[in-house]
Amino acid sequence: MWERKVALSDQDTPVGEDFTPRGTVAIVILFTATLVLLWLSIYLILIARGVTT
Amino acid sequence: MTTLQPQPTYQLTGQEKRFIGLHLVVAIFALAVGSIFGPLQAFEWSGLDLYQYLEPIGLDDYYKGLTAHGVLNALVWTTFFITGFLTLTTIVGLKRPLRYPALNRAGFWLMVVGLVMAAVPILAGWASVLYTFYPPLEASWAFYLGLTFVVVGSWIEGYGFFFTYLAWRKENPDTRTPFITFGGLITMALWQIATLGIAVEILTMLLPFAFGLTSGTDPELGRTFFWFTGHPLVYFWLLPAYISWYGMLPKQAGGKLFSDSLARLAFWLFLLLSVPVGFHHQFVDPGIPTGWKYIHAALTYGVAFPSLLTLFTVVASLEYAAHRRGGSGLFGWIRALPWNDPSVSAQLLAGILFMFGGIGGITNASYDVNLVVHNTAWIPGHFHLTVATAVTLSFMGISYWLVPHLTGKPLWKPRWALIQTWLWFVGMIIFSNAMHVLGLLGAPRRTELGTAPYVPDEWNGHLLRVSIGGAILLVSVTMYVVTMIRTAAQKERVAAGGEVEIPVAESLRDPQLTPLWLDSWRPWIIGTVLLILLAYGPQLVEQISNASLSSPGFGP
Repeated sequence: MWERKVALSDQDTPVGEDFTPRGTVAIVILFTATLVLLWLSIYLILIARGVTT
Repeated sequence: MTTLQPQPTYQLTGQEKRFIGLHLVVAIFALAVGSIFGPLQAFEWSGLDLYQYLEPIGLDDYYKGLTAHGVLNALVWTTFFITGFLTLTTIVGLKRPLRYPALNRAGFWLMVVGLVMAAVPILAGWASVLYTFYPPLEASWAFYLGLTFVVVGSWIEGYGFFFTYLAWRKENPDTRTPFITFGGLITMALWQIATLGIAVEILTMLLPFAFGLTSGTDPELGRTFFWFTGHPLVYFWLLPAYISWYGMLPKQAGGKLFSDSLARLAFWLFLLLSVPVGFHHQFVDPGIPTGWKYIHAALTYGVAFPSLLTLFTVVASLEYAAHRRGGSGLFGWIRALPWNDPSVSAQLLAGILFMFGGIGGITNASYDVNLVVHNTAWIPGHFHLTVATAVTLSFMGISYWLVPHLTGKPLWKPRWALIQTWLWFVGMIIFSNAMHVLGLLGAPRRTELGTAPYVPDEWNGHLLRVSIGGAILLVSVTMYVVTMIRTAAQKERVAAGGEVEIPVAESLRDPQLTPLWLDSWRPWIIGTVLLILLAYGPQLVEQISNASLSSPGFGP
């Protein structure tokens, strides 16, 4: 069942003051790599289809 | 890290709730009607022509349906939802009522009058000009005047927000503007600046033409005016979703906004950069010099920066929340997010698909790629990831807490709502991917492909996927509309003390520590106006001085 979300109080937090979003950095890097690869793939697809000639 | 004490929240009055709720009623009605036409187009593309069955009610025309779909979903659903939502973010953020509520009511009802005025000619077939209403396509004067009223009404609501802010600022000269209000005000400022383009287009070119005062239009100038508005329109849609992603979703996930400063910087940069980029929609227009197109292309890539800031800050806020919920690992924390909350899942799924919308956007902003894909199915494939997912699915998610809050009634069948969000996600992946591929294969957009004699066999499988995705999206949007109606119409009310709260996220650091220049309007407004003058000024002078209102109108 769906449960109403409950905001955690500061006393509950297991996260220290030195929280570093390592997962976020990894996601941004992965996103950037995906962007470059997909962008490049579009060029390759269009060149392969001969749309530049 | 500064620990903040929870601040008392503002309780909306019954009148304020009804006023915001009225916006949602119109928005959801427009979404419901407009969404019927989308799948009809998708089915038509795969050879299933359902329009013939709509002939008795006069809705058997593909382009009439396409116009209704675009106007009702991209313009009406969004504008009414946004003005309603921003009314809430203004009041709740500033913890005070609207300064002039009658002004906002006047704006709202003007929008409603405009909607009716525009809807009648669309449904009657007198305005099958699509939501871009490019001249020389010609529509009834009522369509143009109706759209004008919708825009002016939204301006008036915006003035109401600004007056409320000024009254608050007078009482709180040294306090940082609460983030959700700050984001709403920038959204409205962006809207007021951006819509000057279509205001000038309609008032100086299209309405005089529709009234028979001029003999024709200038299509090139009309498109330039439209895209002055058209691209920032995307950010008018997106920024309210960002307000939720930055300022509300972290609270729903059990965390806080990771960086108030980065969030504000991103909003200012969107204001600064989202207008002077319109020529990237006109790369194939012959009347604009290539150099100016490159300038706008470069500025378009500039908009990618605040988008990346948004990706980082929102995901970091979610990662913080997930760690507080016990999540761990480089990616394992993602599982710890409250995916079983339909409001949260809608926004998370919207964000995931928006990443691919961003990639597609950057790709088709490339000058040479755009020359190839511009008039193809790629483009609607792209904007169904942005306005139809990042925006629409987020707004659906917001309404899963907003409607219960406004009505005092629990969300009807939360599990049903959760399934709805996933169906949208899956349906849009199928639909949008097929549209992108079709675009690369050369399939034209804005075209009744079911009757086209030139469709090659290699398109068929993808056309079928378009209709399968469209069917799933139709099921999803129907579930959403039913959920909203049943939530509002049910007799059951939430128990005392169990009211659904408005999720306003605190910032990890005290917002008072955010630099003052990130809460100061003057430099950013001056910069925005200057950049627009530099990027658009010379070309507008050139095009206006050489305008030729000589192109006769035509309709389907």
